[in-house]
Amino acid sequence: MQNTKTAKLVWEGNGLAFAATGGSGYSMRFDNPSGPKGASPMEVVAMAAGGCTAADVIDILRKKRQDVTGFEVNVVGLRSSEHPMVFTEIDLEYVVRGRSIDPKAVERSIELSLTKYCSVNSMLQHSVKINSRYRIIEEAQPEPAAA
Amino acid sequence: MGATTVKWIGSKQFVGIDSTNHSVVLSSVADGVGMKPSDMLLIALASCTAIDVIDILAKKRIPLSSLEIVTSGEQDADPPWTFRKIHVKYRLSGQGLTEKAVAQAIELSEQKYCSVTATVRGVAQVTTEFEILHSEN
Repeated sequence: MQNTKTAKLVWEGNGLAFAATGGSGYSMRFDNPSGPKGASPMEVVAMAAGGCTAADVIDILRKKRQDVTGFEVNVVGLRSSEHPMVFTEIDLEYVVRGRSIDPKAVERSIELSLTKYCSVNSMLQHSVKINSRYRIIEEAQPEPAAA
Repeated sequence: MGATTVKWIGSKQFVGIDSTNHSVVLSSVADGVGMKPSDMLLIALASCTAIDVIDILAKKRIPLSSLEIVTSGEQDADPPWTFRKIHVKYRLSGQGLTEKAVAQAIELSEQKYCSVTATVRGVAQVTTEFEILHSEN
């Protein structure tokens, strides 16, 4: 059994700017890389990869009862210099801020996301080398119970 | 390509920021505040081939007056919900637009220029179709 998903893109009529709507009804704008109106397609792929694994990792870390106070994923893609300029490597850097975060939990969450759950990475993995690393930043002070 | 960042803003909600500071809100469908990452992949593919097709037709001196692309993807029912088929439907109009010119532009994009298609093709079968809309004149 398979799920079908639809997205729609409409050209705004001049330049290379577009409005796009995903199956869930949310929209974004696109532009060519030098244009001011929106993100470029390959950067959107990078953000999709980052967003997909970020959602998995935060979910798993919270299930593991990790006290995460901040989290981001930095994504850098390396592209071939010849057309069609595909990604050859994608570096994912996970930055987890929190209190007494267990590095093993972070490692395991990333591994589960990249090997099991993240649909965008499953699309990229066959042709792109995905590198991952993480940093944990200890939150300096425990927050007082009431301000 | 510069660095893009995805920042957690709570629950399963994120802000994606690209290297030139365009931002987009991402979330799970349940959270319902932004785009789903796998939707973004389909949209990235559509915008990538759209740019090629507009460019190629402009070089052939056939400027488009409208273009709309609908992409649909079939995903596995089980994790990681990999897309196995992606269908791209182009609906376009423009004075002097011929079937041949459009077919060529789409083929060039698909075979040569579209980096998103080239990146996912090994996993998903990408198919295309197009429809030329004739304006009432």
